[in-house]
Amino acid sequence: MRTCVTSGFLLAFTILCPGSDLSAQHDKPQETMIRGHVMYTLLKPGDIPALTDPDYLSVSEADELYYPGEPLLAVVDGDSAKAYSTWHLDHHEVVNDYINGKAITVTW
Amino acid sequence: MYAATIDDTRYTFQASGSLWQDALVMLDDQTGSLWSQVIGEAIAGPMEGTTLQLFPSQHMTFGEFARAYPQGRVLTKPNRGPEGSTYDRYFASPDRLGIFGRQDTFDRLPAKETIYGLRFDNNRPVAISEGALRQRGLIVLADTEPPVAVTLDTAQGGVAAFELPPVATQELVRVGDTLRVSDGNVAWHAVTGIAVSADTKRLSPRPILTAFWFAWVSFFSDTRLIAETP
Repeated sequence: MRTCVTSGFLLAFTILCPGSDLSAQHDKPQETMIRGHVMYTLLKPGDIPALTDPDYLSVSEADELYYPGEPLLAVVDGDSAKAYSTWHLDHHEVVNDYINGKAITVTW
Repeated sequence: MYAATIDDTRYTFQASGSLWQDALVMLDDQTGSLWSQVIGEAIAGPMEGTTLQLFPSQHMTFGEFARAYPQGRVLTKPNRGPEGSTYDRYFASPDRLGIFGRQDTFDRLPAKETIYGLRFDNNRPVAISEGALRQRGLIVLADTEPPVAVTLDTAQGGVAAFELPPVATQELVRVGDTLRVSDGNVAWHAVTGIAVSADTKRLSPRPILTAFWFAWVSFFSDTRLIAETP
């Protein structure tokens, strides 16, 4: 999980207005005050598509698609181990999944 | 990472399109409530005030994961893709704070220094700077409930936190890629927590959150900070 400013927004920002600043290309974001802090709404739900119950690869299969030094978020529970590339999560932000029969939400 | 079951119902989430305190706001598909990713709490909507339970996760490279968990599963992706994050330029820029460029001043640590944050029911939150973890390789929080060890794999960059059993709270030392109780034969792998000594239980992972200092401290202003020493 990362809080260095939501990465997906930067991704969408990059796609929607490459090389320029937000205010030059967009209407002013909607502002809502929550608990004394402004919530800025820049995109619609679904603009950054979450993954739900995605497909997986075995480690040997993943060897074809993953770099050895590719950073992962790994979760281990009982005998189950799953991992998510943070580079790939940049494009989705949220994965709704199960580990060892337990529902989890993976956020980045 | 959070457990996603509340009162026996599975909740699924997506990015809402909003930022609150410079961090992701999630939207649940079941009630339409808005949830702060950082505190795991619904901040608006029917679930407001409800908190998700943190689920432990670890940072490691694919190479480390493949070695530690050869039977593990890895999220598929459409192609190999470029090497690196889409946001590397943002990460590398010390002055860009948030999407709107916050101008706050930060006196305890540079605003964009990466920290590893831990939260406790009965103790103040703790932020450990990446510099401190690189300097020491192992940081033990002996006075929290429970005691915790935070480790860094300096070669690969993996980071993990573990709850410590009583035997390990004192005199835990880092020896290469293992954690060892200094006066005994008990040892674990430093990044996976898997026991490497006989008759030893694996260490339980403790949830840890990676953040920039400016984002962490805006949520947890009372945080303790363990920073690099000169």
